Amino acid sequence: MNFRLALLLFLSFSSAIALQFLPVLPLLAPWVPQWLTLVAIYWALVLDDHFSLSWICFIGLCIDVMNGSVLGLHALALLWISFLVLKNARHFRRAGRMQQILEMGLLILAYQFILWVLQGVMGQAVLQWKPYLMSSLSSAIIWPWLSLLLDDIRFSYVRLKDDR
Amino acid sequence: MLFRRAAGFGWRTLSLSILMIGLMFADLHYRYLNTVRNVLSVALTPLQYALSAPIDALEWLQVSAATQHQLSTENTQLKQQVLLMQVKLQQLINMQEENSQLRALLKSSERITGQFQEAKLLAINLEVNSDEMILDKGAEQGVTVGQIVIDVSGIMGQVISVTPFTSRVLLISDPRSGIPVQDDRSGFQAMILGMGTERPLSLIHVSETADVKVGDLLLTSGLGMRYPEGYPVGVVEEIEKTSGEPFMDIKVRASAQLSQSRRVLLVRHDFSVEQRKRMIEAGLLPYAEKSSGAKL
Repeated sequence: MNFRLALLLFLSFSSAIALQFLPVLPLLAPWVPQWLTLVAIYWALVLDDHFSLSWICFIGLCIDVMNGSVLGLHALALLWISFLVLKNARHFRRAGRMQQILEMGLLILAYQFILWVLQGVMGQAVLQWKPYLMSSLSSAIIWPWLSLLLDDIRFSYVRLKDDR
Repeated sequence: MLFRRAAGFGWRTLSLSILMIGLMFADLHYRYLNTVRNVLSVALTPLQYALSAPIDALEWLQVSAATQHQLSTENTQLKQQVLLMQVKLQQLINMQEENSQLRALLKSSERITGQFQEAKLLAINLEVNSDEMILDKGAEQGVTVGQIVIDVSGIMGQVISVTPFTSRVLLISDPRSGIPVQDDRSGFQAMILGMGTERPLSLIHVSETADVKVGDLLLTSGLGMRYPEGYPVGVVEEIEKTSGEPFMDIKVRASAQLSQSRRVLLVRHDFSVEQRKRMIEAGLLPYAEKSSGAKL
């Protein structure tokens, strides 16, 4: 992995974390997209078998610490979503734009479902389910723009195909 | 390129999953991982402050863009307020003395008074469904777990964990939060539970014969040794009686502005040994609190 790619990975993940925790009006809070999960999915699709699952776990642990949730909760959810993406990477890459939007919505919903189930198993009651749908919807809508933006930055700074 | 896909990532996912589940288990049931958490949170503290910076900058801009005229009118207003408060304080001091004399006559224990420390909430949007806030004061500034956080109008919550430069507050609207309260009018005692973000609190296990009315102010009762006595928690907003149910459904509006206040006060309160002993004798303290002091 070359230096520029590592830098780009670091910057994209840290800005995703920043966006995730950026203060917003209470009214808008449930509509904040799952930036971090989307960025993780993007890099899983791009890097394929160079994608490091250990690093995604580490990032998940950082989220757990920021959020104050049980250590490993978000790490596990991110890990399983990355696994799903890696497993079906070819399918996702071939999919059309509308199909991708739909599938990203489902993936984000699955991510939050995993969190919900894990929290339920640990006996931490989660009372509201509407925010899950709202953020899945906003994540799905933001996905094409996010992937285009990241593609653009990547093509202009990092030559990935030559490195391989 | 086409065949380079390593079959390994399934195994790696499996082994990492087991590791993470083990981590979750260890974090839930034992306290081994607190050092890991502390190290990571210290590393992430700059990020938390940085995220809060834009809002601080906006506030600063608001102040610096204010005209001299605005500032001077505000200043006179504040001076008037201080004068009023001082007059009220004089009365209060008088009443406090009278009160403690009466309490001595009744042989009841002294009311505790707390020390206050100012703090600010960092503006960070935590995950929906968890009602927690982060304060800009931590162990270095003397914050300890179990301290109470209030704003100008009432109780906001309690400190549940402390890192060197930040601390985490569990708001009273969180489902994990419970406060013993008493009705200011009738003296009736009950518990308030949180029901989630932006939802009214709930006064639980109140039978239909209890003396609770809409509009009653609920104060902390000091039982349970967590929240000190006499701070406002909320106002009864709605009482619903369902026939066949043993208890009423009572909604309470929090006095504190849970989603708006940014400047808060940390209260340091120490229950006297005598008070503690009495509560243990009365069976009001759970066993865990008998041996060690305020512990989560």
